[in-house]
Amino acid sequence: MTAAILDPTFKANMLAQLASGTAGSSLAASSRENTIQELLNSAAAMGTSQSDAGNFGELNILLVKVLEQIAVLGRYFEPEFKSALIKRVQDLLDPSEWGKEDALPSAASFHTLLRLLVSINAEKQPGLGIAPNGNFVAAWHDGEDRFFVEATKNDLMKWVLSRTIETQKERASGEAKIHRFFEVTRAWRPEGYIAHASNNNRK
Amino acid sequence: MIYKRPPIQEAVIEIRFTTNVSPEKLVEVEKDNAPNYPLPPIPNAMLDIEMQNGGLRVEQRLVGFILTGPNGDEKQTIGPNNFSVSIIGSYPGWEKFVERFKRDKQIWERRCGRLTPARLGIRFVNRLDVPARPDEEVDWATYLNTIFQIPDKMRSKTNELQMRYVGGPLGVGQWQLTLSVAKAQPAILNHQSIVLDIDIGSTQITKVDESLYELLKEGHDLKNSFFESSITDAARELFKK
Repeated sequence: MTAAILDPTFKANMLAQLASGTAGSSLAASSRENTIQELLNSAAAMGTSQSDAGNFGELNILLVKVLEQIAVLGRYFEPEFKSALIKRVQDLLDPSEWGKEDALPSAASFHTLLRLLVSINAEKQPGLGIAPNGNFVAAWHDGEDRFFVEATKNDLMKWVLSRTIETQKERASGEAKIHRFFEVTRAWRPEGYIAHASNNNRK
Repeated sequence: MIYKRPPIQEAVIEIRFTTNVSPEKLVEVEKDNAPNYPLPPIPNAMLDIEMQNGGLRVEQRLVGFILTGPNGDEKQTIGPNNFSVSIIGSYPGWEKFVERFKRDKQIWERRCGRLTPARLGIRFVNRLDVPARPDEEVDWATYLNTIFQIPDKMRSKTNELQMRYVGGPLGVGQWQLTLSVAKAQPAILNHQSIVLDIDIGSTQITKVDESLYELLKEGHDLKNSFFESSITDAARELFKK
């Protein structure tokens, strides 16, 4: 019996083993110096113990997956916004910035975040980060005001904000499904954070 | 027709050959492509399982790679007897897409030689995002002419949809058409999505020369006419917004 396999764990094992013994250089470059025999040896290791470089390989696979997600929804972003988002993701998931003990970010969380960016028609590029649980976090600021949004894999958004309204600084936090996000945060005028400063007439 | 937001989710050009190249050659091709596809290559493998002496013999073989361009949208898939180029999302236009195919074919030929072609394929996966609540029943025939009619008494709220049409031969290339329509996971909020997948292939190709590009052009023209005749004006409005 022959079956095509595209199992992510298998790929991760192969890539991780290809990457082992390298530091600082890109996985793409290091893997290309390996021979076909090493590839097959890696394949033979499927289902056995994880390489020390496990996170490294999986992080690269995650980067490919996340960039694909941006490409699929790319038609809804302005070209400049999309380019900047790609650059931020590439910087954030740079393997040289990650330790092998770090929790891997969640691709499903990033998908939720992307859907939010499309739905709120974000104009201003958010800062991106990863929460300790692997969820992606977007951060906007507007002068002294701050707005942090954590995207979970099941479309739940968690948010924290500080906003000055009528000279009074207000702070709030909450959770809401993505389709209710704007409704529950409306009182703090979230659109003010996400529009360009030069085009900030929705505030 | 040129649209502001073309619905192309993925476009693919694939060429298959009559003979196989070795895994070592595939690794060489993969290396040569590194400048254009710098993200980590994803190996593809086959798993062979055989009953032997009362036990199982498991063997894995490398059968190719999926290569990814710097922004994640450009892909190349290489296999023992085929290679394809694809673009996800940001379709640059047919001419530029064919230029990339030419470039990558030259790299392939540098390592593998000019193999005898067996099939030329063009595939365009289009995704229509229609404004609708998740529980809303959408009449997809408003947007696509390729939806088959379901009698009222057979309709239900499950709202699942999957259909496939196979036709051909068409044109000089005697193209075989596989047209698929399926409801998809909504791509964005407050929308429902449907995929129109136009996949055509020709085996009327005997050598890799200029005739390949003439055939490719005919296939692209056919694909365009299939697409335009598959969609309604309501769908065109979606792509203009």
